[in-house]
Amino acid sequence: MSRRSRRLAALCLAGVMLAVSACGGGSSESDDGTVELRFGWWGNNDRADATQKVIDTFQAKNPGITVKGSYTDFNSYFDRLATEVAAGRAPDVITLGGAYPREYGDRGALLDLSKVNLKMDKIGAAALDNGKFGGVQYGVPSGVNTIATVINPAVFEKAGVEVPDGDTWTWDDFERITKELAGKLPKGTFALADPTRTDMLDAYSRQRGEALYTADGKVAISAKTLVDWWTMTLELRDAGATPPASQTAELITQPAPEQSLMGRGLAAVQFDWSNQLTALTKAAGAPLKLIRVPGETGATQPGMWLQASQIYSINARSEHPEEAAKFVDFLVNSADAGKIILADRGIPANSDVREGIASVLGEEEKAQAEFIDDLTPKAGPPLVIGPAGSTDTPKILDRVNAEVLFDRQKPAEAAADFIQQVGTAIQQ
Amino acid sequence: MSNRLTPAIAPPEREPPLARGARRRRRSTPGGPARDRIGYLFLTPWLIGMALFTVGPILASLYLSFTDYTLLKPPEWLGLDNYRQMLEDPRLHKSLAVTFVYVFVSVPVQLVLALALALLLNRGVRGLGFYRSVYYLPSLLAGSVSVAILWRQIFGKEGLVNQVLAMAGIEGVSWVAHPDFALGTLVVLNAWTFGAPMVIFLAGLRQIPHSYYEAAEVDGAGPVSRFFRITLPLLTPIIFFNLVLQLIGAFQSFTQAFVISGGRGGPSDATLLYTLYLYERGFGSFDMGYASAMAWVLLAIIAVLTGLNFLFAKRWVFYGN
Amino acid sequence: MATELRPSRRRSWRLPKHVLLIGFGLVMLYPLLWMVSSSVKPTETIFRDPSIWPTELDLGNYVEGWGALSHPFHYYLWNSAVIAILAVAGNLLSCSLAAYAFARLKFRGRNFFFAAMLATLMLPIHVLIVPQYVLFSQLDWINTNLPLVVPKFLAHDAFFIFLMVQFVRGLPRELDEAARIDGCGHIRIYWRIIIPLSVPALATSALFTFIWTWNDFFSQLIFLTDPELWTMPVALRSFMDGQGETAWGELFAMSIVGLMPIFGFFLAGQRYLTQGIATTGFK
Repeated sequence: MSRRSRRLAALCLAGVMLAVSACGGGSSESDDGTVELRFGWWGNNDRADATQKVIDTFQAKNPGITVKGSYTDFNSYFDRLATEVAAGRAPDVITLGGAYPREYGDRGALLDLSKVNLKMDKIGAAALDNGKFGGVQYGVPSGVNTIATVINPAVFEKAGVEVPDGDTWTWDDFERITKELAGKLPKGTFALADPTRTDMLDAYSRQRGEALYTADGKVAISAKTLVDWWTMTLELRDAGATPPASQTAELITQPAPEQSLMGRGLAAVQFDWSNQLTALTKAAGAPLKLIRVPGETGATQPGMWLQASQIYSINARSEHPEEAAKFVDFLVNSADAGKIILADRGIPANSDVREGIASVLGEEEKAQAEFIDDLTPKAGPPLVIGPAGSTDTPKILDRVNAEVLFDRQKPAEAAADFIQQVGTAIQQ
Repeated sequence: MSNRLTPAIAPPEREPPLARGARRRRRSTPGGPARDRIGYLFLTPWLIGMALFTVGPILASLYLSFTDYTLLKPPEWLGLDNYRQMLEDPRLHKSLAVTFVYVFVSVPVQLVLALALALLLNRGVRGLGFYRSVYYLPSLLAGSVSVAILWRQIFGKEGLVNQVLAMAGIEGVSWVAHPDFALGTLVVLNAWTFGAPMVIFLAGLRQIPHSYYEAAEVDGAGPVSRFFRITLPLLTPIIFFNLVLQLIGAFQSFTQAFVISGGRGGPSDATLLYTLYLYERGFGSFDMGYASAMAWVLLAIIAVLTGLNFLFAKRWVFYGN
Repeated sequence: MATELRPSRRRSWRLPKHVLLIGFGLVMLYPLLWMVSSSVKPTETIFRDPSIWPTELDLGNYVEGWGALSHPFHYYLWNSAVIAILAVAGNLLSCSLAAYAFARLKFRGRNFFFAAMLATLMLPIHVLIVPQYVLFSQLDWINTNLPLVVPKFLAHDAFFIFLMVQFVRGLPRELDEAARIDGCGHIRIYWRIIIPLSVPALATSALFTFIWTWNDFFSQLIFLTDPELWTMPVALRSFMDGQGETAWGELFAMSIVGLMPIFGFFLAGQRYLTQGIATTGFK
């Protein structure tokens, strides 16, 4: 009996597993008819407390629905999410960001939101666009964000250099100022960390009428733009405005705001997302300031854009899409939720909610909100989100950038290499 | 006969002499079935576990290695494409090179260190338990999320090493993040966590009967000759165990390289260990089919090397008295 | 003569040996000491002033870290302990049975099974986790401790089987043989002879199982999504936010708290590494 039947059992199990995709969503309905939703998000325990309060408020108003949060830190979140989606057990409401909505949406994991009842009329158009691909709205932004220049005025003052005017400064100004800073700052303090990151390449190339990607999912940035960029960053490195190559390589492995040069009070300038201002200020222990990135005026077009800080989407296999939509609606459109979340997930994308909380925001959040309000009319065209495969781009850029900074590749070789590698990644 | 050193591999192909005698004695159970039954009886939990939890996922990963599987969509059959693609993947080749260097440097270094410390901490020092525990502490820490930050306190730009160098007027680079040194710091990190093999060596040393040493001492053997004539030969099964498993483990090293390089295997792939790349393809680029193919190639490599290990073990591993 | 010489030689060695051991220990422990020092600094100053000497001694991180999550921190320690203790029990029992079979019994297919067992160690977890997740999800075991515990009772950890095989094979066969002549069956030989003589191997397996289960983050992260079931390493992650603020001080403080039980377990358990044959009267 035993051995043969065991072998049979093993084969059956293998068979079950190979039919990997079959079964339904991770939600359930209990006997008394209440619907249970799972809500996946990333973050720390402070965010967890706020989120639980939102869930409690929602449940009080929607007696038939219970919501269970499922969360962990950013990197672990995406490992787990991929595993759960593979097994057909993903949360009903899924938080995503950056290029992930498109990775998941293009592969059929997310629900077309036009199929459910979800109001989006108060959500800012630019951020809303970040959740829309191929004409399908897959996600709703929680809040709005933008890449910006963070300035530490105290460091400028110490060096005796004037803080630039964000509305007028050009890339030439940027180079001149950072090199001047380099000469005047004490050892160990830098004008800025190496500025190479995909968001900056996006902004820089958009100012020239390009972008990282075309709307139909190809590489759009030109080799010339990349060469210009790396020629500039090499000069900054040689002038001592940015740290030596190995220190730059070390810095990119520790992305937390507290570990960055700016967060440690060791840099005058840093390019970062506007919603990092709070964490950076707290870490640096000095008031910081947001200004626009260099070269916005006098360029072909402005390069900055409004971006969804996080995106709420619904699992395509959810058994309760309407209830899930109700919860997402509550998260983004209700004043009650807004008052609890405040600016934790970006400056709220819903204009009514944003107005409702304006008076209770902290100093840094207020600065972010004002910065975004000020930027809205001045921003460039909506960002083209990278196609499936583009979540690889930041890693490709890290590698190629290291080749450049360690003088193993000339900017021209690196540019060709980068374009080729990104091209391969996104056509797969 | 039982005093002879019996070279063997595990499990012994040759019947140990005493067991052979036992078989002759037990006439009621000639040959196999009864002995098979008792063997399988002891193996039952393992067999059930294999059937329930192990064979399925393993076969599934083998199947997936022949498919295009993005995790988000059901797998699609590809045949050998993933394996063919591996032949032309420069990053894969780079990761193989990095991994081989890492394995063949770090395994011997770690084992020698572990054995040396185990001998030192075996007996004859007051506070042994304390020292052992202290030396094991780094291994406890190695799985922690903080290890990346802690390691930078030594080998980072502002770490201990550079602080010492600065006293000599030398400005050091960031060792963890320099393409020429980053892999070296991983080897050191691995050596730092020698606790597990050390403990296994300690347990092995304890299994060597005192009487052997006493007899050798009566014969006038000094510590060096005692070490080579008693300790080392009798420890060979344990050395062998550590060698086999550290090798298997080192090929799959992941966590430390992952946290130290921020998941990137950088700078410019200098620390791109095989499993790091596998993970990046599987979970980062949603290419689990390719990752599965990579895993099976890794299995083949490890299996061949482990097979060689067992083959050579006949020459130097001694079981029995 | 040799016995007369030795005590003095030992004494003259004692001091340098201790100096060496302590010096080496300090170098090895530098990162840990840095973490201890950082755990008593206010979070904001940890990276601004990364020196190993704290300027103040503030236990606030411990107090606040302990209460920062939705349950007090000992709740997660307890969750971890339950899993780790069950894993130890499971591994000791099931792996020693399998090890006895491989080391002492001859049966058809033994070499094949042995090779298969080793092969299970050779595939990286990352390609197995998804099929495993699917399997456990079919069994409806997600969000229970079962995926982390049941396999241990079924000798899932080939590492420990192999470890015990190597130790059991080092035991003299005269003992089994004598017992067999006295009429003992295999089960009694296993239980009465092999197990008591394998204390060092069992202690090693128990220590490692406990420590590795305690520190095992990835599978606990994947299988336990309900915050109520979180174990210590999973709970630690919620002090972090890869994008926003991280409570480094509390993270370090609670990391040290999380280290204590396994350090204690090791301190207590390492004594048994030195027992076994040498003290059970076998000469």
